[in-house]
Amino acid sequence: MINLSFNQMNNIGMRYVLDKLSCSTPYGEEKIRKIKVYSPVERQALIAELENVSKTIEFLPIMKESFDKVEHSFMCMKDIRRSIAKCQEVVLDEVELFELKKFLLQLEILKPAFDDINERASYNSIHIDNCVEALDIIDPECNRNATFYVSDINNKRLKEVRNEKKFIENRLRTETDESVKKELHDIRTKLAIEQDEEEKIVRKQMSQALAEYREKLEEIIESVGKLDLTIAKARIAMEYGAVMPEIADDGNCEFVECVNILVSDSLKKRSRSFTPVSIELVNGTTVITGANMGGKSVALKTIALNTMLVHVGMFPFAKRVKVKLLDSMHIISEDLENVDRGLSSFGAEIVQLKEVLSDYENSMILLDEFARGTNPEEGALIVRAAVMYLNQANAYTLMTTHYDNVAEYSKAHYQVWGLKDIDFNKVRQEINAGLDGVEAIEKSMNYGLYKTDAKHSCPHDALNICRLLGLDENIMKIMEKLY
Amino acid sequence: MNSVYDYISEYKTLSIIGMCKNAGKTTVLNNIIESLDKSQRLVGLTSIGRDGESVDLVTRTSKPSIYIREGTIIATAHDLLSKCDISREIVDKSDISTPLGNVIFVRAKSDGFVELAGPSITEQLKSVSKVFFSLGASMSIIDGALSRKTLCSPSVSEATVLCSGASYHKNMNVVIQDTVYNAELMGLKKCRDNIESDERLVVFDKDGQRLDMDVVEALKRKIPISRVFIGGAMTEGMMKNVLMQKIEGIEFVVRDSTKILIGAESYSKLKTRMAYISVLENTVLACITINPFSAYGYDFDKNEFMDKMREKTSVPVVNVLE
Repeated sequence: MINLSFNQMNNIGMRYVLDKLSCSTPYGEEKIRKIKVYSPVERQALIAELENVSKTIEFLPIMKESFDKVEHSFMCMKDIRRSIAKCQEVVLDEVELFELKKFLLQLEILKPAFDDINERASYNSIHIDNCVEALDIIDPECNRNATFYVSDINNKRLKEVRNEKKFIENRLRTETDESVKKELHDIRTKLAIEQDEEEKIVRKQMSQALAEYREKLEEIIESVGKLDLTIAKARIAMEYGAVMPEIADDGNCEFVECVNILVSDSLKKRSRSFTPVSIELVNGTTVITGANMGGKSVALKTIALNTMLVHVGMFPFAKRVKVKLLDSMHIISEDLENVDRGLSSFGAEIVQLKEVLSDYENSMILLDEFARGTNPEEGALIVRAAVMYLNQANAYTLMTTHYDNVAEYSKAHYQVWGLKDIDFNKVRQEINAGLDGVEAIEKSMNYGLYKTDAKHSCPHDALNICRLLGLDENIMKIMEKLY
Repeated sequence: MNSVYDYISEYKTLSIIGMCKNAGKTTVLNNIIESLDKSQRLVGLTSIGRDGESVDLVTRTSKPSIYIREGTIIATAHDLLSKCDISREIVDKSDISTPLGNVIFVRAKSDGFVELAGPSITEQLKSVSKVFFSLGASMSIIDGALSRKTLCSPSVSEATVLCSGASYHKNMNVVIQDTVYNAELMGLKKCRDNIESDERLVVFDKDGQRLDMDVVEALKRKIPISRVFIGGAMTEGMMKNVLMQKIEGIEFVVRDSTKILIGAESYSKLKTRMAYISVLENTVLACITINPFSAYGYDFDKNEFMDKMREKTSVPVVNVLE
């Protein structure tokens, strides 16, 4: 099962996606908090889950009224699991019974609305039912009000006590003699105590009777949570234009026009757009090379995010995605946690690589500018060795690098378009006209990837970028001489 | 003779504040509840924080409990429900949490004693009143306390009853002086203009223009000031330096009287220097109630207490025990 750290989830944008999911019930909210990650052996369950999302996307727009009813009902639901779990052992108090009654009343509203949808959608393993038997226990008089009052219909003594008490209370209202009043109050207090005791007997009977329906109610709650989460998954898929992924048994993983919504949303705020990432990962090593500032790391994160999404039963943000279910995912990047532990950034990477190499069967390994922290000659050597080694592994390795002569050892090589086709004079004019250098480069940068010959060497845009960013003329001259 | 109810019957939201423990607040509340019941009005009842214990937790003296009528709606903390001996219909569970559990709305299906512990945040008190009205109450009463009087601000209750009594101090004159001082603050006039500002302090010159200057500095420079708006609380520390300057004719504006935290002495200095305070929102002090009996073994002469109190204030005064 894929198990990323909190920082990694944050980094690739997975936390952002989970935060964007919005459930209406506490049950759904909990399912977001403890999001289920499917492993290869749970393939069938994952496909069932993805189909549920697909069905929701299909029927949400055309059965809006029924979905509105369902979601309204969801919003009225409080967490009653603790009451259900303990009703066998302890006597539920009146507020707990009140909440249970409200929940059961909601089920009466929810069921017909859900049935309406399910008749057409026929969801996989979501069974929402009502539980009239349980409702009848709490509400034996069948008044079906959304309030709770301990009924005396089945307890003769409670009824009597209440009547006697009422009689005394009526006398108290008119009595003026203080000593008589005191006497009446004493009688009243005794009756009030007895009323409490009798009510407790009734509540105990109710609690025990309810215990019989514990399993059924827990199943309903599980289904409510599932449906709530499915709707949330569908909504985000509709908002961002996501697609039903293809789950492959083996072969390459294909990603067509993938988007990382963490990055695209932040670009949108600056009125810029995200360039979708298309890439095909082979079993072995795929290398991305390209210009600085060209979005190589973003491409890596985008692949990581969308692969992760499929594994939690969500639609990836893409035009098409085909993935094999993985046992694990490893992301090696400059890890601040390890650096904090006193390792150099290079040392931290090597420690991570060592861990990965001990367990990489059927995994995805993502290396972002691996070994960039050491001297370029040795760094390139290490990276080349890693590429050659991982080519033999049963894993999908995707690596970004600056080093020359690495791509030629890989099984596939992608390059960022970068500044390849731009008119440097035009950009320079824009900068001279007052546009910020970083902004001008970002504007002209082509973040797209293209597949290239493995022999192709890294593009050398660094010099151009230095020039565009307005590095001192004198140092530029020296640099040009050295080139 | 008029009862408390005669002075409060026209208001929809009411808070009851005691000058001290055992001032007779619960007796007043019970009187009001009885009168409301006689005129067949449904009431919603809550308190600020915890109140209504049958034994006073501070002085350990036994005190009257709140006795409500069938139909009344109360908002109290979950853990206190078992201490309410009414027959209870649970109407709603709110999201307002207190140390004693969430605030629960209960409709009384019989008469009986209740213990109240409601919200302690202004916004929550307002929301509780709203629920009362939606459940059919025609009046919402908040059992308050002087120490938490900021919560009885006009945004929460239209009118207030101030309960005073011998328990406040063994010297009757002190009781009267402090009660009248509190009553006077509650009765402050509303500022003619509405000042909309989030700032802590705004100084206006005699033409009503804003001065970008601290009040003390302006006074020292002898710049004529017409008005000083105090956005937060008017404290002793803040007023100490102001009172040493010439402040004749200056209007000090606070949001409401609960924001005035200066003592009676500073207030009278302010008045003798011919300055005055106004408020943006004013509450109505419906009446003052007095309790001539103390919980500490001494009592006042009820007629003397009443007469002296009436002499010092124009607000109606009612003896709770009559």
